Amino acid sequence: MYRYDEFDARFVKARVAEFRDQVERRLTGSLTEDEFKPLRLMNGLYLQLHAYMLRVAIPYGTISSRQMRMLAEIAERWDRGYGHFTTRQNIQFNWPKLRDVPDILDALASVEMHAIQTSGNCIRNTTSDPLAGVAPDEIEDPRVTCEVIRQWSSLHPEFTFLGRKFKIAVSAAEEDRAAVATHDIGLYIVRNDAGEVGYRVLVGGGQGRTPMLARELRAFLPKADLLPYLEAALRIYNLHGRRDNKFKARIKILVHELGIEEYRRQVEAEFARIDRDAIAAPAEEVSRIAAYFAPPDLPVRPAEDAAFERALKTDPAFAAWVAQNTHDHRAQGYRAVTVSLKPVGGVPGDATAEQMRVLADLAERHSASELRVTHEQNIVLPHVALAGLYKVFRGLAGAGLDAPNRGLVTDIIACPGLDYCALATARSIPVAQAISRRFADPRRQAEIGPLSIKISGCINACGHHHVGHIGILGIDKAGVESYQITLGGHAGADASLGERTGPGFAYEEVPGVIERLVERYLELRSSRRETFLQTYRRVGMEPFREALYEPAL
Amino acid sequence: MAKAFTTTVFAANDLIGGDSVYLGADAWVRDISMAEVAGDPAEAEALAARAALGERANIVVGVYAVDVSLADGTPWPVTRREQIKASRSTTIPVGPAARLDVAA
Repeated sequence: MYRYDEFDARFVKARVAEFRDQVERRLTGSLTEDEFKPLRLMNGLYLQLHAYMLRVAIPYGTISSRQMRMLAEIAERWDRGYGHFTTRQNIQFNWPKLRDVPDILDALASVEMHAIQTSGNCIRNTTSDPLAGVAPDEIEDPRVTCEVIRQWSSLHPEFTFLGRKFKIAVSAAEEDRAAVATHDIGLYIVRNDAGEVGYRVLVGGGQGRTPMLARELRAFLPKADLLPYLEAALRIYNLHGRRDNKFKARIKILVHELGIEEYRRQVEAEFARIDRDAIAAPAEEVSRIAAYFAPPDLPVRPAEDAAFERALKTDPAFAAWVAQNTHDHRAQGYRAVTVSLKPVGGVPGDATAEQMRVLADLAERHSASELRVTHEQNIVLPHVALAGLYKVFRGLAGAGLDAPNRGLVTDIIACPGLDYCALATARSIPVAQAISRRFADPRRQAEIGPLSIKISGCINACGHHHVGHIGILGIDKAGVESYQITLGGHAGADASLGERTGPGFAYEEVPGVIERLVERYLELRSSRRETFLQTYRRVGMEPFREALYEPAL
Repeated sequence: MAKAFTTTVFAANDLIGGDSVYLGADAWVRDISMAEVAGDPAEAEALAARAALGERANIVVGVYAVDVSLADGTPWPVTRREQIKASRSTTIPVGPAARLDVAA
């Protein structure tokens, strides 16, 4: 994992001291709310429906046991004993008091964490593959690129006040587990015909009220050109991006309005003009960063483990969990584990302080003290030996963290919605809970197979509904919640945006609506191997629409 | 055409705690049933002016008017959003309480 150098530590500490002073001045009245608001947002502090909310950065989702324990301590000491892991691989605390926030930030700084640039119109946390450095199908660890971008984009004077927020994702694997095409800039680490490693650069993706998938800006960018090219791409956006209309301010609108060819022409012209050497990350600095992401020193293990095999045979719950929630590891005798934060009827992405400590302890004992937060609001233990898997499973089960549902119908992404969020127009969490309870039976979940349901409580789409196989958007209809359904969205390498089925449904109707869609899929699928998405792509919207709107005969 | 006047109370968030508060007869209150109700535009204007003082005095943040209906003279918001805000909590158990709820 990346460790702060002296500069990083000094910078974060100075920022906390500065914010402490700003909070003090706000509380004594020498700063008005209008003056204070941009300052608190720069430090990740929102004001929500019932309370302040502090969003803490977890760069590219990688976190140590020590840091996870600190999050647990913060949850207990200054919040209500839990936190919420987000789709940007961060964590949010929902109930901090304004006067306590500087102390929370000091506590975070003591374990090399902060909340800087988790809000505001700047470059946000760069997200990545939760199996980075582990997945057998990856070219190299994408987190090195993420960290280079993090250092370049932190307090970048030119890009601290963009027209709107800016999100970057990096993936280096064949399978896209980072929803790259839904980002303002998406980077795929690829190999060209000559065998050189570089970037395929996408631009102009995003969700929100005008969802768009990113377009290809450059088929191959040499690695050394990363920062100069990003700088050129951001500069063109910063110069032309709409500041007059918040809803048209994201780069996707600019790329759409200019056209990808014209945007590319301007970026390439700027790229040709600028002093690339002055902007590029020095090779020795990239090497220094890369060294932090060297694979952990895992003991050599045999490919099989007799005790593991025995447990698979004797404990069917374990076998089901292994089949659904573990992934191949590039090291022999190891697996990566997805810990589901979606127990039946639970709040997607929430973990109590006790659960955070269990995760920290298990990671310390069985995963080189490392954890990952996924954009699907789960946790990954990246390096678990086969011989330790059963112990990990039992440990998770004891904390209610053993749901064997990764990628299944109950593995639902949901934004905080109207239960917390000041912008929300409808509730998301109770809808997710009701669907989860409806499909609680693990055999039924397995029968249905891969199916992603994503729920947003307003048009801003924080719950990624546009790329859910089934997307649910909660809106306000004359003061009452109403839910629109979209079908066929997908966040992988073959990303697609969902299409709306038709008129919306009442809050109470949603679980039944999902059930009708799932039943129709089970009737339509050509075989058990054809997933919901494949069936939808084969048969189209009409049969599903009929299932929802045609009166029963 | 101007919107017909709806009975109104004034909501905000407490500066220090961030929790929802309402303008009461003498002070900002946490219980919406204790909020001062404006029954006509003139009363609403007077309450708005008093609420703005709370903002200027750095007691509250983000003052706005909330449409309410009255049951036995007690105000309750009309929209789902404001009902949830007035209830001062999530509509479902969360955190450690939710863990017990799921396990049960």
